[in-house]
Amino acid sequence: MVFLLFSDFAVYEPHQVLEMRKLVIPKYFGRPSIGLALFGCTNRPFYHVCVFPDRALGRRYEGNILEQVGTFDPLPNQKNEKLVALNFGRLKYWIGERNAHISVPVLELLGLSGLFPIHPKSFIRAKDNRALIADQQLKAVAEAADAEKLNEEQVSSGATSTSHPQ
Amino acid sequence: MIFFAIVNFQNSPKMLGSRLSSTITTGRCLLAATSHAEVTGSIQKRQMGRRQPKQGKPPILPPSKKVLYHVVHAAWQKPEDVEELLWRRHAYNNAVVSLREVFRAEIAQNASHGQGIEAMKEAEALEFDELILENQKRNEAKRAARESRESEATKETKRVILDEIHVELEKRNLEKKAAEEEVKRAIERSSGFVDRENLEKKILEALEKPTIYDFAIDRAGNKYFVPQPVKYQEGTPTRQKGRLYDQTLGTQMGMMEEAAGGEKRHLEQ
Repeated sequence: MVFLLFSDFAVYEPHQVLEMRKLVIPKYFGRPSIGLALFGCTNRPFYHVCVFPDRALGRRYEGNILEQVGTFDPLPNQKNEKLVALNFGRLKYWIGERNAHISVPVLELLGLSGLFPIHPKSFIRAKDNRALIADQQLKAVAEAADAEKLNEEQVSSGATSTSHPQ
Repeated sequence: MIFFAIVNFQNSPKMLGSRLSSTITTGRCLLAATSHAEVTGSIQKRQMGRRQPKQGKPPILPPSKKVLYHVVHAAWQKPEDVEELLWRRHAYNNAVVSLREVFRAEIAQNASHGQGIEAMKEAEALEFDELILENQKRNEAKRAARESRESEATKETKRVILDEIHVELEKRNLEKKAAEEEVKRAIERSSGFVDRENLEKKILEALEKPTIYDFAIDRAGNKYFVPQPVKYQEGTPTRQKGRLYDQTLGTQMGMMEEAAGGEKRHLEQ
């Protein structure tokens, strides 16, 4: 089947290929891809970092997975850590030798782990998070100030009321 | 065309493989023809029962408008983010490309320097052997420890069992002795038993010295014989015994001694 498709692509002219319905994505076709495979169960996500033969073949099923090169636990643990395990040796093999396509989430993980440079999305994400935290802090400060003001007003009104209890 | 394929199949079954491999289209037609024939046959046999249709859209129908005209909108991003992502992605992609090269070179270098996969396999095999040896050593040590432990346990168990046997034997011995004593006592008692030989004599003795159990007894142990026992019955015993018992016990008959005396008196009579 696969060879037939290849031969079809080879025979037809490029403009005809463009008009054809795309059965495969040429960018990823036949190229191993490294991605996250969702394991785990209801309300408990858990990912395996896996090498797939082809992105189009899907990534949930063990049957398609060539090799597992790591795990990723997206639920923070008690110390507020998301644990990631990566097999650098095998990753280097798949990335360098086999020219594997790497999905963006895995690229971010690789960047944070130090094998790759930090992914651009990680920078943006960090910037957004910083802004969010600053916002929250500002809000907290404003709320504290409001509360203090209220408290003072109450105290002053209470003092007046105590001076004239009747 | 289908017919042609089937004819070929019937005429030369040996050629089927080659035909299938050489002209896939013909093979497909043949398969389709056979499957179709099977389906029709089964339907005719089953008289076309009503079946639940399969879930989902029949493939012959066009995609629904909702699916057909669905447009994927990319999430909105801040312009400064887009700008930053652009140059960052550019640098990043370049870095990734060169990193791929670096990794490839590293793997090649490792392989050439005897640190490749083959070397790793050999090293792992060696390590595996070493680990197995270590495991064997551990197993040996554990076996020795287990044997000593088990021998001690066996000794202990043996001692306990022997003790139990000793206790049981002593108990049985005592029981046997007790039983012998009982039997001896029974034999001694049996000298006064009634048997065929001394039957007449015993009957005479009983007649001479009758023991009367027809009495009432109170807590003090006084026995009240009503009517007074007689050695030899005279006349016809009364039929109406109600009057006999129509008396207050303990007033007429006195105490046990008196009763005994009365009994004695009766015997003397």
